Amino acid sequence: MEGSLNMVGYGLAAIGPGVGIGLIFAAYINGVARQPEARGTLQSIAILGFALAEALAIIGIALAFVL
Amino acid sequence: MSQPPVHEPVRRSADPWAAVGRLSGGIIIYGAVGWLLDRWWDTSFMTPIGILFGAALGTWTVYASLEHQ
Amino acid sequence: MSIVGIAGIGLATSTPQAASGGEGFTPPGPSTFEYPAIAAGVTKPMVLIVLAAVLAFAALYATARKAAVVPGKLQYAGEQGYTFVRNGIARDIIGQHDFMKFVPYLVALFFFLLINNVFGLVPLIQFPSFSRAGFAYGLAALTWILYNGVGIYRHGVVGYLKNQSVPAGVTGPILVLIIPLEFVSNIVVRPVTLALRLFANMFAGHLLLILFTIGGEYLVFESGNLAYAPVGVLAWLMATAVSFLELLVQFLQAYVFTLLTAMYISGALSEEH
Repeated sequence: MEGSLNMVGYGLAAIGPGVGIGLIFAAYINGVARQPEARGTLQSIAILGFALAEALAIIGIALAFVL
Repeated sequence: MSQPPVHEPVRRSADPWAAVGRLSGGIIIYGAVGWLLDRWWDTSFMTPIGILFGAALGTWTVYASLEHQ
Repeated sequence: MSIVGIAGIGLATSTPQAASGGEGFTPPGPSTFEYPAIAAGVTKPMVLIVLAAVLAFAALYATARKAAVVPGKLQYAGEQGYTFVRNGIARDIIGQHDFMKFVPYLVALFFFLLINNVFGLVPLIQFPSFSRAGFAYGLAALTWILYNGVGIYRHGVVGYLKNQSVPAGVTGPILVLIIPLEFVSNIVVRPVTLALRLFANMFAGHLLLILFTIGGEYLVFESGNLAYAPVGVLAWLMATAVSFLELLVQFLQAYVFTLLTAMYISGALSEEH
């Protein structure tokens, strides 16, 4: 069987951030639905959480190519 | 016809694709710096260190550009 | 079922390498997207791009030609499409003040992209032109030139670079580390992700459709094993389901590309901090 183990590793590594980002934005949507006035406050927190979760996925693809 | 609602353009700090861009930008730049250091010092570990440093810096930039009280 | 059959025949004849090996199945790959020249170096993707441009112009021109105060059906449909981009994308993102200058480009971009993407499902054409990476990068380069040019025109070169390289809320000595990061993020990463998003979505969708259709055809007709035939039919049902998903993705990618172009233009024009 041929292929790149790096890419298999990246594929597996992308599961976690995928689920995490889904949870973050689900919470954001829930929060805004319950209290639309909180939209601005929640938006900052959602973007920060998104960046933290996405960082792992982007590190994953960078290292998959580099190493 | 009445005045249509005026929309303020989306702030860059609140845009998720901008966050991805800052993260990727940090990783690209500091990964490249790490790679150049590797070539200069003949080591092999500086590239991943640069990548991680760039990711941390990118995440910090996203945090710092949001308006926090 | 006949629709799937026609789609199968269409795909099998419209891919340059019909994967019908005598021994074994060669799965489709990036080489499936290489088309031979029809005449004088002109390939099918090139013809499709030009055809999409002609169709986009013809459609929008036809809806606006005899503009009456009480619109007929064609004019109404055209107006709905135009208003969707003009209000939903241009006015809401760029803002009330400057958006009219960019509406022609954004409307043309949206309809050009939409027609090119939908070519992936039109029978006998069945190739989304932006699954060729060069086309996607070319279009992103056009957007890149536009938003950088607009920013430089509005703020001057130094002012524009300062606008793009210094994020809001960051001060002090750490700025030395942050400025190259922000510069690369705005000037390099943006066009690349714009093109890559469009290209990857179209490429993956087309590849998936080919895989299911050609795989089903191989399983049913050429595998020589009767037990595989129901699996082949299942593959064809999956191809039909994936086609509907592809339609959604095609609309969405055209919309997202245009939306992000508007956002980049708005970011270049804005007087942040």
